[in-house]
Amino acid sequence: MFQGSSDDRNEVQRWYVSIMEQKNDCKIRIDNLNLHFATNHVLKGINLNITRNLITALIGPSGCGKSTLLKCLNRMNDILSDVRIEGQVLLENQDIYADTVDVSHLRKRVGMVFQRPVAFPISIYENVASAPRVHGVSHKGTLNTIVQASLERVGLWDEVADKLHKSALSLSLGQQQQLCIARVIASEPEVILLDEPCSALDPMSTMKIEELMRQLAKNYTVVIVTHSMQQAARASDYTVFMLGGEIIESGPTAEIFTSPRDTRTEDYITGRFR
Amino acid sequence: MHRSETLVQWSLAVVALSAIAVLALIIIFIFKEGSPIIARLGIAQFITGTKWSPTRGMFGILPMILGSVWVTLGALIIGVPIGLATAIFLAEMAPSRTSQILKSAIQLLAGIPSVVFGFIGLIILVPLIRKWLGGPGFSVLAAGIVLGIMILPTIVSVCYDVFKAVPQAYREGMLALGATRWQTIRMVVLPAARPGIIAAVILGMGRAVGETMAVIMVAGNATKIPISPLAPVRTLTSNIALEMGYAVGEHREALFATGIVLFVIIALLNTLARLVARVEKV
Repeated sequence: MFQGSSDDRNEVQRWYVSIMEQKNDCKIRIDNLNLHFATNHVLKGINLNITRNLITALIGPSGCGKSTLLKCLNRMNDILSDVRIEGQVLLENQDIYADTVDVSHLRKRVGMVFQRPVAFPISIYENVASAPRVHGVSHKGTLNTIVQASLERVGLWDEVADKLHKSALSLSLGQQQQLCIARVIASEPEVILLDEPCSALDPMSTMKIEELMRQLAKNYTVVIVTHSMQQAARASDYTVFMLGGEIIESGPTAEIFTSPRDTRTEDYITGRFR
Repeated sequence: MHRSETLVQWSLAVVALSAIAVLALIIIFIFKEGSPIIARLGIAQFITGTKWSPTRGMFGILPMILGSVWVTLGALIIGVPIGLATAIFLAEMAPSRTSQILKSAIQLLAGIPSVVFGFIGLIILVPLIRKWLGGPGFSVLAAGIVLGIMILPTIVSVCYDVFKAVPQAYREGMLALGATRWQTIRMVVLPAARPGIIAAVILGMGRAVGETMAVIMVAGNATKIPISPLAPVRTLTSNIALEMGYAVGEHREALFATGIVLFVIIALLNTLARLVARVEKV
């Protein structure tokens, strides 16, 4: 997956991150974001920059708010009742919580992949085609092109080309997750959010998805929530450690994992934290 | 302790078996009474004969079979779209409180005796049809409308349960793609619920085929093959209910034979519903 020694890699990564920071290439900027769920203060004063074309990992123990934070980025928290959100989330300098924002269009730009693969109980083809269809594409030829390109992009095309019209539920879990990523790609997003995308998968499928993420980061901004420390260390460029609804520490992944500044971060990544 | 356990088990088994025994007795009885005449006339003669004239010894039930088919189709054409739309609204769109209230109202509809449906059809629907569409008013159309309303509770409650059983993850997955609520329903919820919807339709069909009283009151009951939706019609169930009171001998046997045909149709529909529901689980 990675060539060269880990030192080389860290070097490259640090260089890459510094370049990005110099360009101030910030895709999403979160400004003093607070989220209350009923009487719970779930996210407390979150400030974070998410850099374009990097993989940002959100880590932290269960209930720290990392999934909630992720869902703030495409307003999936909207469908829950009793949620109050203050502060700003700027996508390309535009507040996604502004009244004028078309949520449907926002979710086209910011796609999401869930923890358990959500393959719809329709054909493989229709699963991928559903994304462009939602956004008004109905021309058969265009759909065919999008479906094929998306499936090729996630490396699933060769496996499913001859059974496109079979039920998507006939695929293995790993393949279903690839399919879900293909579906997100099919709506041509700018940002891809992944909510623990590998927690239901076996190690082989996990590896595939991680490689795929690496591929995707070339064109998209990727944000991943993960429980697995190794996954964050292996597959992300930038890591954000959260605890109790706050960001404790964030920085280039290599730094967070080799020389964390906060003792709580260190405790968590070394597994001493409970 | 152990002994009382066995006792409970045995008595429950006896009760359960007696219910099944009643079913078995009914089947045996109908077949015993009805099959001789079918054997004598020949099954084809009985089912495809177009003349029903007991006094002249003519027993063809094709008009009644077709009558049941047309009336049931009418009920489905009216009941399924309305029932499906109602279930979609209740399960997917209405706030849960509204949904609870409306759902119990529809359950109440199931509790209204069929004679009341027939009565309202007779007083309101039949004159309306006679006035605006022509014909005697007593018709396939009248029966179809009344039955369409009567099967609503079945369609709505089964479809509602089916929609509620569609995993929430599908809806979220679709919403995350930027879909609107209606797109979500159309593109994922309905396809996922399709086998259940088909089962609901078949159950409604069974109810429509079996309904008697309301149909007798509005259908006109002529023993002719109906040639238009405005023509009067007699169904299989009506045939039995109307004539059983005075039938003797061969006539009585022919009515039991009508019962056999009805029984077979309903058994087929139930099996079909079960098969479709099983496909859904796979």
